[in-house]
Amino acid sequence: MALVELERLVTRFELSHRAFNVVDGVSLTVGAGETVGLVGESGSGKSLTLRSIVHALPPKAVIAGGRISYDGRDFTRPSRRLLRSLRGHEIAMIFQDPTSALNPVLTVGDQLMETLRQTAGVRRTRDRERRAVELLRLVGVPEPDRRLQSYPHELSGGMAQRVVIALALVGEPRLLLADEPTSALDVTVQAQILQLLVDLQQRFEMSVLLVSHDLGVVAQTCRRVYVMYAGEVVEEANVSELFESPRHPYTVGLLASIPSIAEARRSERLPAIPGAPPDLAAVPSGCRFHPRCPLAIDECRVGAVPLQELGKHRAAACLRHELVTRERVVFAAAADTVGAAQ
Amino acid sequence: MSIIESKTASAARRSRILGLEFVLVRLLRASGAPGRVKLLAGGTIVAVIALAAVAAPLIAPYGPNDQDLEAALGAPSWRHLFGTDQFGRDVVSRTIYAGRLDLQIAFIATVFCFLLGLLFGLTGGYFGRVADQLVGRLIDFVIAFPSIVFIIALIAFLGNNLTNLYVALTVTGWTAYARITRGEVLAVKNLPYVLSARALGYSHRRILFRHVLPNVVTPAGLFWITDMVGTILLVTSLSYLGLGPQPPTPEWGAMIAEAQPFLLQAWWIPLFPGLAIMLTGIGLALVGDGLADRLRPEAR
Repeated sequence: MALVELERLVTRFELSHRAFNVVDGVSLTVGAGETVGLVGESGSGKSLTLRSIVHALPPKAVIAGGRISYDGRDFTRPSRRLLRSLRGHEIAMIFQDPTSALNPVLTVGDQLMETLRQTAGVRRTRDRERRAVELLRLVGVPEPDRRLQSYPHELSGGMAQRVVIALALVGEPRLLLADEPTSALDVTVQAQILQLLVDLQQRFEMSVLLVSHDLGVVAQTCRRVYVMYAGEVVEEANVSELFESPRHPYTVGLLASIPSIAEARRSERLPAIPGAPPDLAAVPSGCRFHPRCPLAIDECRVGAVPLQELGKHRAAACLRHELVTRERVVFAAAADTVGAAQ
Repeated sequence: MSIIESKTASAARRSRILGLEFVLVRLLRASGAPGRVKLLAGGTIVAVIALAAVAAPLIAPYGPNDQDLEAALGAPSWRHLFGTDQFGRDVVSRTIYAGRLDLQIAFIATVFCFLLGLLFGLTGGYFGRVADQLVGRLIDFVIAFPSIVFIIALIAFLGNNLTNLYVALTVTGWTAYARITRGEVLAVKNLPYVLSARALGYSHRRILFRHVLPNVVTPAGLFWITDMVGTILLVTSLSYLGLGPQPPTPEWGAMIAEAQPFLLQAWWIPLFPGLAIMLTGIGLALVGDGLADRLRPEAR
């Protein structure tokens, strides 16, 4: 059963002189105990989709349409009380930059203990200390009792992200929202943190919705993926299917832009998708990807292209999805894109 | 250059009137003296002055208002180390006694500015919208007036005594703290740890005082230290204008002002209170600078 369900969610930025949809009709589901990835480039609306779920939007951003449901309950316009009872308890969130997610003037222990008191309601100081040490041990912080006295700046990025994860686990959440949790970390540390997330997900049978621009990260952690482009979901697939047979040219472009050692040996240029994502205030007519798409035909420029079901948890928003293969969709080499983008 | 450093630099610019103290601080900075050394040096200076002020009756050779008209305008000698003024009062004793009042003014006249400014800056910056508009306009209202004129008017209206002087200085002095703090709050309030605390439904009071305040207080605190020096000078100019402490109360600024007609015959009367102001300034500036070095989170 779906734990979280978004139906045609629209999140708008309403500025004084203009308004535009940053998330435009996104539908997705995350099942109980499932790990789902949300991939796309910067500005594709993936983070805002995530933040819409917990109603933690930046100022001026509003949910303008669609439905959010959590555990069968409507969560589109939650009351303050409902929000508070879910945030931190049922739903927790971790961020990209662990150092700014921690208060620099409080020790790790202070922050864990505060959250334990405020969120988990653990009253006795000794219990809180014990729980704090347990949590740090759980997320793989060495010498947890000594680390309680550390300030955030004394921690490495990976260690800080572990502490942030420990903070997220305080309320024993059923859903963990991870917004680019490893983007600010070194590659080796990144792998460790992802492994930690996978372990914790299995141990607590949490659902995880992971936002990333990195298909590699998603491949390591998720079973299912949604690909977003310009505020819309353009493809949904299991990770293996997505890698084997992408059904949207944009996905092909994303896959092609993962550097491989073989290509580097042949000293080929890294392929890139020419052009830039559209300005969300002036999206192209028809398929939003058509100006950059090598397969685009006239029909692509006219009507909106809806997401078509291609099977269970398999969908693509492309008129020519049957033609899409990694061989057929060839983007120009990176060198040309510099000129094209300008 | 860190935010804190630039803030103290601007605070330093404000009380540049003293000049020399900052030359000295520059020299220390150029010498690469660590925060600890500056803190120690400044702390010692301030402590000695404060101690002298507290122990004034014990260490001052004469009473501050003891007149010896026969010895009036006497040059520095073994009997009167700093010489005597036009009434034959001992300049050493007066300078030491004046420290009591001046340190008191430096502290009391600024502490409420600091607290008030923090409060306004925090509320304006954190709550934004109407609160920020209100605080902003209030600041504009206060600083649009030349502060000296404002202070003179207030004292004229309220009556000339020390309490009213503090009131007037507080009413005009809090704006700098509020503006410094508001800016810091704006930078901090959108960081994930504050946003998370809000998302988790922590009370505003808790977020403000536990998560925001400790992260924004440093620049205002450092400005406070330099502001003390500025305030002594401001009170000095006020007593020169006949407001603030009145003769024969020993006060450094008042002493300098009273000495003006005798400047050519008796240079020692204004010199020593002047040096006392300067020394206090150097001491406080060093403390502020040393603290700024020490308070940068990486240095902790």
